[in-house]
Amino acid sequence: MNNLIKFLFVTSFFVNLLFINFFLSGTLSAETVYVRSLKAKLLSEPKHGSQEIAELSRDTLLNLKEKNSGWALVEYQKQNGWLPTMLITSTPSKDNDKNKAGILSGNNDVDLSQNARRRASAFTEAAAARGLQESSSDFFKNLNGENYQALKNMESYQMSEEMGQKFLSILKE
Amino acid sequence: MLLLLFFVPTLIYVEDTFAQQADQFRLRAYKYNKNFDNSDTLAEIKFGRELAARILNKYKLVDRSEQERKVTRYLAALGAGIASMIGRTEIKYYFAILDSDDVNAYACPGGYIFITKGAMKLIKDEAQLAGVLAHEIAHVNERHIIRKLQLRGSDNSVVSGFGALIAGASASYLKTFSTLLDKAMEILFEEGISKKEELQSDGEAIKTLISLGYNPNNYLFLIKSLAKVMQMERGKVLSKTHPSVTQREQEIEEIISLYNINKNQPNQPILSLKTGKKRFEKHVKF
Repeated sequence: MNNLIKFLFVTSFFVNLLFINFFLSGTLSAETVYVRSLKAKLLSEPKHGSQEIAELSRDTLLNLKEKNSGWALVEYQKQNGWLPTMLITSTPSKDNDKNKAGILSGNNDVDLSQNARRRASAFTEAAAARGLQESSSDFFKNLNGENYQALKNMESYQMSEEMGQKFLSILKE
Repeated sequence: MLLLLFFVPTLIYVEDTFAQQADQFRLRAYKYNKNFDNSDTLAEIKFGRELAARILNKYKLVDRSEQERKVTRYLAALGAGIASMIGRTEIKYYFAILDSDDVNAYACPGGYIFITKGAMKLIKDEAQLAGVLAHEIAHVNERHIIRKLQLRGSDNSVVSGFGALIAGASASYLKTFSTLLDKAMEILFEEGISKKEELQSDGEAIKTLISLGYNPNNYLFLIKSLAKVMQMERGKVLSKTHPSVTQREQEIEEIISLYNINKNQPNQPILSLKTGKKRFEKHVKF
């Protein structure tokens, strides 16, 4: 009887171990990623010029299966295909867009941790709102050798992410 | 019965494991974001902005004629596109051309990126320019200047020390801030960052080009063309601050080979990879 109990104990232990490994490996390997670029070609092989399976748009949800030398094997609509890893991201860009829309719609409570890109401009915008000229503010008065007018000119050329991505996407050759 | 006795605790264990892993993931995500502390990022932008203003006092901005403004707008659009793909999400990136015959490009902390007129004249197509911009964005992403300034907080985090150091407005803070600006100028124009970090940025540039569908061989061709320039006066700073062309070539070729891209003549489209030569020539005229 003791032997039987020992046998059952050992057998169930290993069965359970197998179960755990199978269950864990199957579940944890499925990582969710999103398309980062405006458009991305899902390819049949990790090679430029290989057969195009589908054209994906920004924020398309994919299951990441494997990463290999700059390429990611992903599952999209039950099909497997390859994308350069740089075209995928772990967070959807639409989250940022939502936050931006919130600010534009009059929400002045800028949550820097959630919309940090706004934070970048918040510094210059806040300074401008206070009417501060950098060269005359307390903080900067002891520094010298800076050209703030040229800096503002430089900043005036800044373009939105969306405009930049569209600019990239229209290049044909 | 015995099997049941083992399965039940096992299922509980499995659920616990998932819960723990989810918690660990959240914790890692929290810590990751925590490293990008608001005050540190603001400090980085503030510092980078001052550094950019100082550079713009050294060199004039190329935006005096309509043609020059057109080139700058083109640069800004291309830069914005690349930054949207590989840039840090918490900062904005700005791009400008410096009126200098030197062949170089500079990245200030906080996203201020410059390329010289001399470099723009040497560049032959959009793939090459995109490579240069991606290289500079990589410097910003990795906070290479901040790291070079060797500012470390109590938690050994480079950035957290930076925020604290330049947070004040007292005379001593201002002096520190100004001294750091001097040091950063020295890094950009005399000392350079480090060979390792320059090669790392080249690697990022190549990966970016491939991901965006540009021919990476064109960037390699640009790097090769620097060999001559580095022996001339207009390549003096570049030769002081960057690794040798041979080292850069090796690193770049190694990365290109990982992507199964056959070596080809520059400016020749490979499969679906683009050069952007026509668009570059249309916009960039001095």
